[in-house]
Amino acid sequence: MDRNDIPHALYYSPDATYVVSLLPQDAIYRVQTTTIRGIGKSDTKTLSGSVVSNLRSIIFVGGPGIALWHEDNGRTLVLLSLKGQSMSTTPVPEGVIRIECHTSPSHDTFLISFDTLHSSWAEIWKIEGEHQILSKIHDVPSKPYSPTSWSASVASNGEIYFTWNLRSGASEIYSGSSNKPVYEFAGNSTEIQAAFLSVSEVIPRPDRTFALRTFLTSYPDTNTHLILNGAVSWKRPESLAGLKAAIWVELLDPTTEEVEGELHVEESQNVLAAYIHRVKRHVHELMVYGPAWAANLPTRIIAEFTGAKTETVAEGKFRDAFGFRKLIVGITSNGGIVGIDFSQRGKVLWSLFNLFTPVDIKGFYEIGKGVVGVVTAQGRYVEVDVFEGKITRKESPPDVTVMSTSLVSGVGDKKVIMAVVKSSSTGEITVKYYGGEINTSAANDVYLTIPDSFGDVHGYMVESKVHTRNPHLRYDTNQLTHSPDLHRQKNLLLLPPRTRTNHLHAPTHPPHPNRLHRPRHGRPLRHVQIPQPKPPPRHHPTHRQRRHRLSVPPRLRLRRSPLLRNPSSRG
Amino acid sequence: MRLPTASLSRLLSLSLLALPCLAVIQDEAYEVDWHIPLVGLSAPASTFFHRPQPDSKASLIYTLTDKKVLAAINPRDGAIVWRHSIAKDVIGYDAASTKARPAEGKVLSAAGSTLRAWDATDGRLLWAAELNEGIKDVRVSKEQDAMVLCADGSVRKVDGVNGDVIEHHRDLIGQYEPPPHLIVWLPITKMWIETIFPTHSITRQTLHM
Repeated sequence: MDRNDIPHALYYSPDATYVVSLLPQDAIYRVQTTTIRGIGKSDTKTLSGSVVSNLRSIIFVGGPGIALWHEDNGRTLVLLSLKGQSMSTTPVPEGVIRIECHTSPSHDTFLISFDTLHSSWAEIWKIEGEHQILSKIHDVPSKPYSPTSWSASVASNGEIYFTWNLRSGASEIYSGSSNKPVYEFAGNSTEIQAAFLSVSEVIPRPDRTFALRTFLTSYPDTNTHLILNGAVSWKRPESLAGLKAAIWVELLDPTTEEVEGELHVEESQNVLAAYIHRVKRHVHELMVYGPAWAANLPTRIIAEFTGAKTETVAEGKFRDAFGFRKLIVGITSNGGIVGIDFSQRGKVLWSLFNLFTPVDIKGFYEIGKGVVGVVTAQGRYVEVDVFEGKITRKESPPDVTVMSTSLVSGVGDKKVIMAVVKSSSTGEITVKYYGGEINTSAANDVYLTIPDSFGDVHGYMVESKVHTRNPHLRYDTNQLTHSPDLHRQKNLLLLPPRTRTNHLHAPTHPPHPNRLHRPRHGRPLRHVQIPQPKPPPRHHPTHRQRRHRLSVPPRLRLRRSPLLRNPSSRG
Repeated sequence: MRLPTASLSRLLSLSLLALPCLAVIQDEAYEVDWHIPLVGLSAPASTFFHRPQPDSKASLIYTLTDKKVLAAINPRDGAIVWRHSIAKDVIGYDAASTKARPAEGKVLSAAGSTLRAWDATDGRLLWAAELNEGIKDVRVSKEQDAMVLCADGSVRKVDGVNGDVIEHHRDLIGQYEPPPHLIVWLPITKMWIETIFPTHSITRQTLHM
């Protein structure tokens, strides 16, 4: 091995230590193994027949002294025994996305598991003889779903068992001697859709049954579970460890939910009609709820005195009296959305998976009562009903890159997410509304600032017309800043050039007149006229206080006072 | 201002004393606020059942996660016994080669160029060996020493008790001449700084901590 070689993995055995590394040769790598028997006693062998495309092709190096890699674009699996240097190959079928090897250092039987998108199976191999020949001894029949997880464990009786952890917490235990399971556990967990990773402990009992303890990471949520003999013992919500963004969602207020419609009716009428409507509603409520409330009153008063605990709302979509109960909606790093109940000590109420890849969130807002909208940088929009945990709307407009978002008011109670989007093909910047139409009747002047690639900031006003399909971005000539470099912008809307006086920085106080032509912040002031502020009227000095002529700016030179001019007018 | 109904107010206050005061403000500590300790997604090669004390049968679940947290989880109830973040070791190195390995009474973690030994029961740091190369792989030998494969292709044997580098198989490299570099060992009480020059002369300075 020399400095160009890429070391990959180490395997230790009592007589020697083996290093597996890759030797780069032209565009490919060759596998080489180095055996270290002591200080100064090491030899390196290059497997000149091996053609490995990259470092990730090496799948496994470990006990009982084997190395596994795939060649030929993933179509062939090569096994090498490190001690005896004997190799075996096996073809890999189409569509295999994951190959894993499960071994124990002290046993010569090991298992190779294969996963495609829709099925999973395994092969049991053995390494034997003084030349350490590798041969397959059994084929475990496949299951029609994926992913599943295998793990190898050595029991107290010294035998190796391979545990196959399947969906719903079911598992099968195989010894290396046949391709049928020696024991099976049927699982009944609804939370485990598939198994991604597992470690198990197998305890053989005297009556030929087994006890099994498995620590499992499930898929596609990455929560971990402990399964004891087929039943889930505990669960850790590790999917929350990858939370990237979270917002609060308020629950519904039971007292106002029913009367909300009535309140809206009242708002739209004139005062007298609204008053009559309100009185009618109160009388109706008294008749419907009054007797029950009055009958309940004595028990309530006694309950207050005797200290009975007040009922608290623990679940559901209505808030409790003080509003402590809220929901948290979070986006996880593997592209899912989870809903967490704040009042039940952070219990995860629901989760949705595989919604965004990659996770680049540009807008995450509560757009209505119990509705949350998410906009990603690729323009994908997902609307989720938080109380049910279901997706209500999904949009994936093509050819759109979202630069920034904001929340504006929409029709009714709902809000609408306004996104400044850039079209990937034309580079045009427009505004797009997600989640509904905006409220055109209300005054909806929205101003934006968009920075360009030169670091200048441009101000725009969004004109909301009656047809808001393509809201028009209009330059606001009154209020916002403008840079003289507009003509160089290639990726902005072309706008009519400005003809009025430009203000580079809106000055908060008039600049000193002597500094008119010197730049304030290092930028040359070309084509800019800073307006001359009017000097305040000066108090005219007497002839004694009159300053030297040259220290007074020419404009501000004073005329002589009329009083001085006509001395006779004094007195 | 004197109340005109002084006697009435006295009667009222006496009546309040009649019932014992039963209003108790329930302190809602740990009812309203909560904390969920998390570790992250477990890495396949570094998750195992292991006995913290070799003589007793109890075992814990040890895992090294994608957030570079080494944690011990109690299999009985899922609570975290101890956890340590070794993310700082990984900065600047290959994050995919972080490994955790079981040893007798200890758990070794290899991240970046640092090999650390943690007590398996309570997570105390026993020793940390700072190697001068990134670590690609580590295995534990029968004598509980760690064999470490580094990114420059050298294999070092690290003593399992105090973290000293016992053997350094540099001759695997062949004609590779190492540039002058510093090796810093960290036994618990003393720090040695050793500088190796291409002529293989060694100067050693000892710092007492």
